[in-house]
Amino acid sequence: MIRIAIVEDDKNYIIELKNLLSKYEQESNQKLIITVFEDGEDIVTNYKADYDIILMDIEMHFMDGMTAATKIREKDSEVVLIFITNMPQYVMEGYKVDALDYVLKPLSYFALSQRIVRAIGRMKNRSISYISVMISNGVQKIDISKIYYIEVQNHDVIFHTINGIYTTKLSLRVLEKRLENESFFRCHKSFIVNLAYVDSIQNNDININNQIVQVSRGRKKEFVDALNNYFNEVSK
Amino acid sequence: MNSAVNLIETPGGVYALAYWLAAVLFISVNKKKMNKWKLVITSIVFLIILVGAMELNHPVSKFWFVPSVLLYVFIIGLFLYVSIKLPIMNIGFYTARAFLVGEFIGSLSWQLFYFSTASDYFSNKVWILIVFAIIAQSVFTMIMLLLEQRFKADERDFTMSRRDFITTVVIVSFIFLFSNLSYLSGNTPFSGQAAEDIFNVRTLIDFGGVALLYAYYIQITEFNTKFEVSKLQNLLKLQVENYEISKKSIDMVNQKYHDLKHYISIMKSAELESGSIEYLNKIETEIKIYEAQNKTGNHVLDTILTTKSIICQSFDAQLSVIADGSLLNKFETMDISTMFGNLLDNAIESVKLIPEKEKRLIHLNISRQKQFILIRLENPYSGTIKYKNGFPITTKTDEFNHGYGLKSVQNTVKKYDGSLTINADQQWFEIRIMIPIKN
Repeated sequence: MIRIAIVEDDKNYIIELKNLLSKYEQESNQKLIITVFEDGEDIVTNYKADYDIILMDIEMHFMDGMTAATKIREKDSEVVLIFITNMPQYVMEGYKVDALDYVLKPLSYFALSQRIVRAIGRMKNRSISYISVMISNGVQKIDISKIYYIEVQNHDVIFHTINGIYTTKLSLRVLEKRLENESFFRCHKSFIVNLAYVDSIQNNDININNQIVQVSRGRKKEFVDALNNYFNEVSK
Repeated sequence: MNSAVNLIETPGGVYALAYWLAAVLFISVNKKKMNKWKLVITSIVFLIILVGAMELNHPVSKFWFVPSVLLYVFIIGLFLYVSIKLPIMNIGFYTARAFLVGEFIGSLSWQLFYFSTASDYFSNKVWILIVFAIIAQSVFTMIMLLLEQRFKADERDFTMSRRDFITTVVIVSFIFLFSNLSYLSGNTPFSGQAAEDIFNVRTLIDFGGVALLYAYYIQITEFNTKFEVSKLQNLLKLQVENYEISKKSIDMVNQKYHDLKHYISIMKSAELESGSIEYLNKIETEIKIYEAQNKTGNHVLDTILTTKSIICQSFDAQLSVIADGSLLNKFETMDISTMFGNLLDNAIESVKLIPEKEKRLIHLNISRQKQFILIRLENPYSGTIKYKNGFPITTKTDEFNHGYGLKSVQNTVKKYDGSLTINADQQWFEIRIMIPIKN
């Protein structure tokens, strides 16, 4: 089920958009729930993060699309924003509101449906997964998405997380297997980093939450490629 | 196992092992078609085939000598063909090299064996010969392997022309003929009568052949690299030149636009009828489009985008851009023009081939994520994409130009310590670039 909001002041375009979306619904076999707002102001007032995708017109009477998008972003960092416009020059700054997509008017089914397919593909999988490890005073359940990086020292495995540091004994092979489909990368013989928290790279230093982790020279290329792909898959 | 060895005739097994080792040598340094275990099994099968063919066919009459050698060459070629992932011409070249290397290490090991039996250290027993052949040949193969390893993987995927191939075949044929002349007839200026002479002639000529082909190989790969470098440089120059021409014309349009805007405001300030004012207002909003187009925050990028969108318009393709060009302000002009010029040219070439006009979409994003610049270019494609050295090549376009554009983008990205990855799924092609922002 995909929840889509249409923000558009032109009645004809609303009808056209609805038609195109219902065509997409049939073709893709996906349930769409569509809500229509006739001005930017309408969606911004009492905005709740209830949508997966917002199709946003740019030129509207009371509040234009870019202003509305900015206000929405303040409250909702996850929703995918796609502008609908006949004035592409006005969406050039879409990057400021994390909107990297637009569809040009007059609308074409191919362009719209493809942008929606791409958007769905990039929507975050919000399921939370945990890893349970033995620490000195019992079992600790760690939220995988909250791990900054994992350090391996002799036979100790140290989890650096948002909630603190946990030390355990664990086989690296088992650990790597467990993190296989998550956003982790083994960048060094003693470090596994969560790509989601990589802030910057300077030469062979990775900055994660103001801590420096080394990337080994042999794994540098693979690491930057993994990070590149990761950023692309999560960006909206 | 106690039977004595006929010392003049080299046993087929010695050569079979030598050919096989040479083939394995060339397979080991090239990209393989199969996984490790399959390769091991395939190699064993071919060893059995080679030893079988050569032992059964021994001794060979003069009449059958050349045809049977051709058969062995064919078996070596087949072995390389099923194992190495390279175009057929390159396989042919490696087959020729493997054959000569095999000839050389075969005759050298036999010559050494012959010499040592004469000096009474060893008796001429079959098992000693086998042990000797395996040790000596393995050592020679290892030496060859060291020489071979100086070539990088992408140098091995060189373009082998027909002329190169024919030259190789001629060289190998002559080398082989001269080295074995003594066996066919002892009565030529190049033949020897005594066993030592025969062996010396054969080993030395084979050595010459191996060296010759090695040198030829270096020459071909160097020519290829040079050709590639000059191709990249031309491309670079072309993009920069394009950029400069576009810049001139766009600057001119902008100048005219500003003049026009100025005239309009002057005319508006004069007292005119309301109809004329309305008309002037209309002109003003209309030309505004030109002003606002492609203002990304980077002039070089703006110019390239304007030029490329004009090209796109000419065949109904749509170029949509959401870009923070200011992120590129620290880049050199030449780098921006090569990078985006080539990226967009590639995308344009690709969507041109799509028959449905509504599918001709090109989407470019430049955005920032933490301390990284992310560049993403997406476009649908039709047909299938082939890869060469990890770079996609389009099947329908000009044979000589494909891949070079992206390669030059890759070089630029490398210069800024970035990453370039390519992703193709569901008929969408996506190039992703990430460049760290330096402090």
